[in-house]
Amino acid sequence: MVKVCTSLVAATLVLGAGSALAQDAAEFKVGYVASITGVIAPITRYYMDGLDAGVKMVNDSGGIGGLPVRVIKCDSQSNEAQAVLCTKRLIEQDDANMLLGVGGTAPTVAIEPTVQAAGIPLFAIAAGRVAYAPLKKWVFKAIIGNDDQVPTVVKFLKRKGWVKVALIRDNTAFGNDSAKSIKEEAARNGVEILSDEVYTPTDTDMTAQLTRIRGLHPQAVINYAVGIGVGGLIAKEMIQLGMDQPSFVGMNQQIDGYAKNAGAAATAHTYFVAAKVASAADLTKDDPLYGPIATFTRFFRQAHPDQIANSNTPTAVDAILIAQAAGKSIGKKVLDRQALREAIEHVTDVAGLQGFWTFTPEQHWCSLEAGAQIVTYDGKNWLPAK
Amino acid sequence: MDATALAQTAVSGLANGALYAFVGLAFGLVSRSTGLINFAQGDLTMLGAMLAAAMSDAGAPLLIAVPLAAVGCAAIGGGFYFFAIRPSTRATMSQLIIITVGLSILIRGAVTSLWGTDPKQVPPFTQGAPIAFGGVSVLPQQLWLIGILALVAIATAWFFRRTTLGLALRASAANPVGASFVGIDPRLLGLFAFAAAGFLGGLAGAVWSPIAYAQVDIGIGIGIKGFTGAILGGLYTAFGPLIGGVLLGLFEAFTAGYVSSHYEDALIFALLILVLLLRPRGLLGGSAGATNDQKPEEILSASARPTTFRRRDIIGIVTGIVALGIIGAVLPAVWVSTAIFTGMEAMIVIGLVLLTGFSGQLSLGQPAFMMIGGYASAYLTVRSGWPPILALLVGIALSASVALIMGRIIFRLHGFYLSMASLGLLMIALTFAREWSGITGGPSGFVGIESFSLLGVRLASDTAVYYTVAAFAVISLLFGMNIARSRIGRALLAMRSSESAARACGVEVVGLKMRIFAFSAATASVSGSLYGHYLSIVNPSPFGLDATIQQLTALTVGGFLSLWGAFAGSLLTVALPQVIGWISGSAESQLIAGVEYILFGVLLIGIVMAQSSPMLYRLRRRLGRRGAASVVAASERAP
Amino acid sequence: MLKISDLHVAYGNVRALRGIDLEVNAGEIVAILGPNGAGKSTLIKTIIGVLSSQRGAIEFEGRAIDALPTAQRIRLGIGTIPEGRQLFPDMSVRENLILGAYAQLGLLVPASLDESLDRVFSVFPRLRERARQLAGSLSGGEAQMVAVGRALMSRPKLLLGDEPSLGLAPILVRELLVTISRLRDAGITVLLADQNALSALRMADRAYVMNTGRIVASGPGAVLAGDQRLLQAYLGSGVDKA
Repeated sequence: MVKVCTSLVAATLVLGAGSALAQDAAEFKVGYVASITGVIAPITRYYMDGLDAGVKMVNDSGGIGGLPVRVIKCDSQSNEAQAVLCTKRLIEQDDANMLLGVGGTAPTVAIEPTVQAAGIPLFAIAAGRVAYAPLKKWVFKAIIGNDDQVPTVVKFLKRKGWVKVALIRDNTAFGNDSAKSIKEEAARNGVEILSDEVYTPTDTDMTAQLTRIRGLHPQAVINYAVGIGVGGLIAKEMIQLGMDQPSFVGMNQQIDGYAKNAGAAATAHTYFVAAKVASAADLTKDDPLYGPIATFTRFFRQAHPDQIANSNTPTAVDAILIAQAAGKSIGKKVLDRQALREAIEHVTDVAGLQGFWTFTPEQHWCSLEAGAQIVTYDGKNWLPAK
Repeated sequence: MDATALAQTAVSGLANGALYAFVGLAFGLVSRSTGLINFAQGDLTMLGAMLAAAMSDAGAPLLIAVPLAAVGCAAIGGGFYFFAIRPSTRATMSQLIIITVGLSILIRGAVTSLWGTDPKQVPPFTQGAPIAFGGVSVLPQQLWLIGILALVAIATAWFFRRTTLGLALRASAANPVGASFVGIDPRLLGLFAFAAAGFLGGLAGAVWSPIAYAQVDIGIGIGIKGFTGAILGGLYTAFGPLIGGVLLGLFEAFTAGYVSSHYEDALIFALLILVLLLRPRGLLGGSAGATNDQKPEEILSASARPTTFRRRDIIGIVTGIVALGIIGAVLPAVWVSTAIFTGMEAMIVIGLVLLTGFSGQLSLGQPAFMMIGGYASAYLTVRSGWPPILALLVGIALSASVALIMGRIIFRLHGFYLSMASLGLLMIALTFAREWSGITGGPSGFVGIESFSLLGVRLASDTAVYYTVAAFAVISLLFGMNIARSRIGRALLAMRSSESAARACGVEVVGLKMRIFAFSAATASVSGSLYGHYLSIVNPSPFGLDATIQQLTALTVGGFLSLWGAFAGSLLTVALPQVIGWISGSAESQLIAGVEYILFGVLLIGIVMAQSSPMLYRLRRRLGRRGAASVVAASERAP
Repeated sequence: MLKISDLHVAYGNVRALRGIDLEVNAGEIVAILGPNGAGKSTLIKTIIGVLSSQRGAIEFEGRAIDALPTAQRIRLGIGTIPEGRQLFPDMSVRENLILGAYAQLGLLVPASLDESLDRVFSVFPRLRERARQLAGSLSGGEAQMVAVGRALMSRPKLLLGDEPSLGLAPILVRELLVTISRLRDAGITVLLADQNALSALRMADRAYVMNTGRIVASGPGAVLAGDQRLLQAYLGSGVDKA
């Protein structure tokens, strides 16, 4: 009984404190449901770093609807229930004007009923297609998803003539979704997937699975891991086992830290799916995405001089770039969620950092294959692959 | 069969097994001396790796970094024992385990704040290419790991045979009463055990991590494997954890390489359950074994509840219902959602109060029943268009049936062995949820579940869901109270103190356990179904070990025998992260997020310590709480 | 040698000892008798330090030992044969004996312990053969020898015995009592709590009778042994005729 009372008193005090913090209406609040801790945390860190710079960039060019942008984050702990609680808090307590989240596909799906009920635009940064398709009134794709990355990989494989391929991936939703996309796309393009090996992300050794793959003599190996620790480990183990096939890793592995974990493997025959931001230094002025990427890279270097932008850095930024573009046509009416939503779903060819964005009222996603590429690493720089 | 592949798989399994054996030794050390399971053991291993990596990054040579890392972990282990465990003289076994859960959270929070979530590398002890012989390749560091493990094993054996402290530890494990007569101070032993386990864990982490990497969340998985290996080999034997860990590593490698990497987890835990059923004390577990593994189930807390329905129960229920009704009307929106999750959690904890509190069966597998309920509701409402209430009832029926079948198998076991078996069943269930994607949608989950509806009325708004959950929670509470306050409740309490005595009095022990298990499965199933309707998606990830830990924490904080406490405990575990996050404002970075974790861990430890403090105990006694539980407690405490 | 004044011990709300006054002089065998639940075990456990008292004083050789931990009391010269023997079943006889000297050992088990072991083996020759055997596999009588031997390892001046004859066949009980009086002859003072009243009384120099936490009678052993009414009243029909 005492415990219940104490909890209730604590809750009431906190509520009081919360509502006492009146919100300033002259700004545009972006609520970010972020997996700052937990399984998705390692990659969220890069999303957040990029978002910092992105906000400065957007505010430097007029903000959204002429209003300065402020991001309010809530840690969903990579956990669906906490994601829902965060979402409600950002909507009710923080009066967010739009939402961004969640990093994992399942939590993103879990918050959608709330988003739907409250009527607030959500930019989904989850790689799984089910997060934004089929059409959901208030949800928009904002990330280079599995359906953009995978065709890039498969088409590259086909081009190089590597048509007997083995797949090793983790048994999470990410690995599962990726595997499904890969198998479908491979079948469409005449690439044969010889085997589909899995592991748990917290496993410490995958040599058993790799030994099995080695015995199948594939021409290439697709190594899709949810974390760079495991991804790098697999690459190291492949070298240890004397496997010298080219290996392909996902965009989430295209991080400098990967090279530290994978050692020599990173430079030796690994191909990475990457966003154009990754090879920003090599972008020429006639590349259609040159403008935003160059501007962003400048802001990013100021904000994080010790970091090199990777494919995950721009992930959370395009959402506010799209919102900014949408806001140009309606000005301060961006604070009206319905008006904002309608504006967003009519954006055409908006240049983001991950590609060009075009939405329609029937389709809140578009293909970003043009923004994805295959790169290799030479120890210092990321270079588009031949 | 390719001989090289076979040999390579064996070598990998052996090296992995060495890590598990190392960690298992640490578990065994703590368990043999204190009877406790140190849940933070895996995280101490991770910490050793992170410390070594950090020092090496700062330029320290490995010769200094590795021992220092191990010593650092020893200090944390010993310090934790000194400040948190030793003062908790009145704590029950489960309360102490939850305190170690708090330490686990604390360590992870600290690591997140200090070093973030990126993986770190520790350089290998000797540079050099993998050593290849006959087509099989071994990393030099793996040889180091095996070598150091062998040294540690020999040192441990010598320690237990030739040193006073070692003999005292074995004596204390064999017969704590006898040990006290000979002048052995259990608290000194506890301090040593925790410090030594910290040292071993940290050393294992520092030696192993050059092979893979160090990262904040690798601890739990390593801990589970190490513990599983230790149980497999015999937790309370000298070499059991060693043998068990190595065997586990080999089994794991061969399963992944030659059977199926998809079902690896399920097969490992199936093996564990099989071994537990055939050799309950592990492969090396002796015949006239230590008495530790049959410790009296839970020393009960002193806040007993009366065992017949009294007027104040009725008043309590009516007040509760009215209060719930009012709360639903006045709570601001985001707190309604918190209340919803609290209610769903409370339903499960009510089942646990009866299963673990009253019957003394510590089941770690309740999330499996949530999954059955969730998937049943999902499948039947989405694919077959059934009304949600029917689907929910089918879920209950399925869960209860599974409970009855599984119960028959695992309830022959006791204590930690029962808990591990139930955990194994959960892992197996998770594997099936992942792999039977035709039915469950696989890891990505089953989406498109509509809100719960009753008689055609959609209960979609938060307030509507709140009242639905509250209604089911109250129903669960009533069922639970009915059982607790009846003859069955008294029989359960009797059974808890002494099964043989209860049996002699005519209590049908096995049947009783089954029925309570089925009840707890039913409430968990309802919770899972409502969860699916509320979130519109059911997937395996919310139903893993984290969920079990949360439920046990809620149970412990709320009080093992307290049905009302189920609500308080659930509120704490659901709302506290949000409250902490709220107070600290928008979590700007991993540094702050890590600090929030630290706060949660400290609070958890603090709450449980306060609950078990001698002062509180004396206060309660003076307030004259009586009842069956206090009588049982007195008889269990009498030296 | 041992002086107990106004000792009160309670378990929670249950008061087990309510003001015990007792003395043991050097060289004596003193017996404590009483029915089940009288508090005999509690008394022994409090003297050795496994239980703590709420009120009263315990003095050993003129020194107050109430605040001392068990290990230190053992070092001062008190040894115990616990109720139920409390051996360490999966450790060898030798290891069980070694642990008797635990309170006096340093970090490593010294070689000089062999002397003490030899002495115990000379009192109980049968144990020498069984030295490497697990204590859990011994017969009742052998286990009792180990329990006594273990207590002797610390070279006690005062030996406490808590129901040492419990569960032993009559012939073994006689052997045990013979051993105890031989120990007394060798200079060890003995305080024995036992239910086997008559045999204990015949051997004892003095005896105390306890009931419900109090001492209800005391006197020379032979005198009490002859007092049939006292024995019937406090020890009931369970008094043996051995």
